[in-house]
Amino acid sequence: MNEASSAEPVSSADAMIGIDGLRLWYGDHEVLHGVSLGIRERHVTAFIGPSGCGKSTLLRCVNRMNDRIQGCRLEGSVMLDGTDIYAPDVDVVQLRTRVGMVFQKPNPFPKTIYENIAYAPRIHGIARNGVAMDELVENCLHRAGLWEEVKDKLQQPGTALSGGQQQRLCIARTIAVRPEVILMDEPCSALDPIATAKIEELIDELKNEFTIVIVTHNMQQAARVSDYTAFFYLGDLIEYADTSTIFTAPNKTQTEDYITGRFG
Amino acid sequence: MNNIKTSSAIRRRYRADGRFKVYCLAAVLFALLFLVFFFSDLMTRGWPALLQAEVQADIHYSEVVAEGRYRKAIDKSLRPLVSRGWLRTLPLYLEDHPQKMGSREELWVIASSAVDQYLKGHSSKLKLRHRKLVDKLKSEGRIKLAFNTGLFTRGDSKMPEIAGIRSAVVGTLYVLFLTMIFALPTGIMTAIYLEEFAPDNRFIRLIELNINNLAAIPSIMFGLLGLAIFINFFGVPRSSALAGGLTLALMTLPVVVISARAALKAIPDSIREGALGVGASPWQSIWHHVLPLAMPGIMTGSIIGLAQAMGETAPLIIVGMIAYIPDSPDGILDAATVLPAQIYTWAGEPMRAYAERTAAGILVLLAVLLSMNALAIGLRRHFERRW
Amino acid sequence: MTDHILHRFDKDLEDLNTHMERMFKLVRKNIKQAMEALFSGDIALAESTIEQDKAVNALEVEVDEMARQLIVIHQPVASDLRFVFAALKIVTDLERMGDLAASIAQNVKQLGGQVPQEDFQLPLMKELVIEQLKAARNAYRERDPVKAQAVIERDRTIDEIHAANQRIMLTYMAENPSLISHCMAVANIAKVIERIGDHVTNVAEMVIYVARGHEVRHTDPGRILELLEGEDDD
Repeated sequence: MNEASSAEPVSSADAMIGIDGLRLWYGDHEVLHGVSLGIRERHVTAFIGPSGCGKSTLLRCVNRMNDRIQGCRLEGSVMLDGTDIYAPDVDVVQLRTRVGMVFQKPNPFPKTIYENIAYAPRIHGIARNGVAMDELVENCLHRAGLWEEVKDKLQQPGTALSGGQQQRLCIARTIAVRPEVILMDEPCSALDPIATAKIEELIDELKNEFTIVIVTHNMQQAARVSDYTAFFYLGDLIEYADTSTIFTAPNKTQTEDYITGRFG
Repeated sequence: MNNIKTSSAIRRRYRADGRFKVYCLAAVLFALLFLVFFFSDLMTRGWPALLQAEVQADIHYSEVVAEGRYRKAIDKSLRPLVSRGWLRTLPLYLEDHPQKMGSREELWVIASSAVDQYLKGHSSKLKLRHRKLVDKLKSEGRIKLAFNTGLFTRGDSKMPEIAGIRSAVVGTLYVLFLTMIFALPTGIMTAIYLEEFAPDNRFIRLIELNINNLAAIPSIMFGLLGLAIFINFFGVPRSSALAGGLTLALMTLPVVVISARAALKAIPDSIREGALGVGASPWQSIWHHVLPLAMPGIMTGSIIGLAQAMGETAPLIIVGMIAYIPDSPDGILDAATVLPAQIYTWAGEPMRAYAERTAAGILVLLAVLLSMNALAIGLRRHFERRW
Repeated sequence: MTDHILHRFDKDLEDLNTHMERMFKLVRKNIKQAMEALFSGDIALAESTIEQDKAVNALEVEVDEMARQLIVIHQPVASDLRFVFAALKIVTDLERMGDLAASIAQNVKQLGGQVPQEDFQLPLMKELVIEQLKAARNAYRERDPVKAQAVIERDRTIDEIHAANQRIMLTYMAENPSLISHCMAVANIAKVIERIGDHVTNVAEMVIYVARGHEVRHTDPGRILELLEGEDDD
């Protein structure tokens, strides 16, 4: 059962997102040194590694959030369903409706809970106001497991919710534009264990519909929620394998040292 | 060793703490003392200007008055007591109301400044017999000190008893309005560009440096700039509200830019990322999310900038807004003056009655400025949000 | 391997390892002692062996508790997880071996001072099993999968000798029915020794799991060797 080898766990035919030879610089500093990996559709892929290893940077390449950073340039390709998302004819705004993102710190808009969900569908013309929008809002809140908690206070500000609820609101807001991929950048790092468990439960449900890529510092979390785990160190992809392999018998000493807590 | 009871060293430290607290408190009290002194002085000086002596007189609207010999309108005995400035308005009044011709009317009319000062117990050049007359009329209740509505409804005058701040207030409103519509949009747009879009290169840093330096330039320089550019080059009429407004807009601009940038910088990046993350365009993320959140901060800074502009005199003197303007301006191209300039003019007058009005003008100006600042604070409180 | 950032983790793992070593030693001693009693007919020695098995049982409980604590406190993963998991498995095998030693001692008492006849293969089996135990212990100490594989490989020899021994005894019993009860007891002991060999094999399999993460139970020893050689690159 255990062919621990350096073969890629996700073949390029299976990959929904194909990252190939990605090198990235912030100014003169090379943050990623040629990373290649494939991310499988409707599975959870976790990126782990010590701070500064480039995992968040790589995540932000997938919806071109790095475009905002001045002096950031890259080489190589990131393919989404066979399209290079860095091709000149790709529209970043369109890309981000297909690749949603949930951030480290819950960042609901300082508007009502309803408006938080309704905002994106409205600007993209997915739904206009009225019954259709009400249904969409309810549906998204249901799928984010938040409906029962907020159904009576849709007109209250989203920022008045607890941290975990805010994060689930952000997830609901993200799925409202019907993306295919959801990127999560340490979504639980600001949450208590119960709120974290709820998010993890949600991730488990969402993976039936969405391709999820999660960056986490919590290795138990990566072990719990993900199907595949990629370990990064100093801008290199050290090891990429199915999660149970990484956490029981990793192939590389660096991975082993990191996950067992031997990093000096 | 680890004794938790107080020792002498600990007590010394506490005493030092106590002393430090006392010094700080003393500094606060000292500042407060000055403020109290300033305000009480202004109040005692300005308060009398809110009252004005009035005489009950029998007005006879006759042909003679209409022809310009307006002093004939009242009884000879009362003439020295009544304001000449007021009497002078009668021919014009009759022209507007011809039906009054030939009629008589019992009215409370404005007394001369000498009577006014005498009644308020100040030194007055009123002649002795007139003083007796005043005393007699006062005991009969035909002369009194009433609330000085004229201070707010009349323009400037060479006669203190009929001089008011109205034209200056109207001028101030024009100037402030113009300053606002020029400085706010330009300043906020500049701030948005610099904060949200500008690349971080040498050119932009130079612009930023210059804006920060502009805020520190003495205001009179802006007056010279306004004179050179708006009046001499563009030909904006001298003394006009437009010239003043544009000049003050120049002066306010850096304040608006700096405060707006600070407000935008205070909006956490997570808000922008959240909006961009659901596929909002950069413009949408700013317009829908960042700007509404930054608005209270921007408004606070802008109001404080405007209040500063409102209290400004030096640059306006340069563009000629210190002129004697008895009538309210009718448009932005009319000659106008502003409240601080009016105060400055009155402060230069030797007559005691003007000193009162100077103080009253300052009180009005202060009241407006303080309420503007209070508005700024109120706005900030009201819209302050956590995210 | 480098130390953990958390030194307590290292210390706890080390404590667990020390207990395992102690148990190895004690079990090996008990098996040797039981064999000695068997071949010398020394009933007192047999009784003391039975008594010493209690210490082995106590050690098993202790190791279990330590492993439990380690899992709760440190949530081990990767090699640490494999070690703790293997310790739990090995300790069961060791305890069973201890029981089997006691059972030999019990048989010695039943034989009442009689020693097995020299034509039987028991001494050879005894030598091999003790040799195997030593080799397994070394493989464990050094976390050496190749040595462990050798142990698994050699267990076949014990099985073969055991089978041969059974045929010999059957012949004996057929020729000389008066020896049947003696033969039954000896056959029983031979079976026990063969079982000890199986437990040693289990230990060796866990050593390979600890070292490499390969699950090699119920796998042909030749295939195991291929697996181990196939990854020499890292």
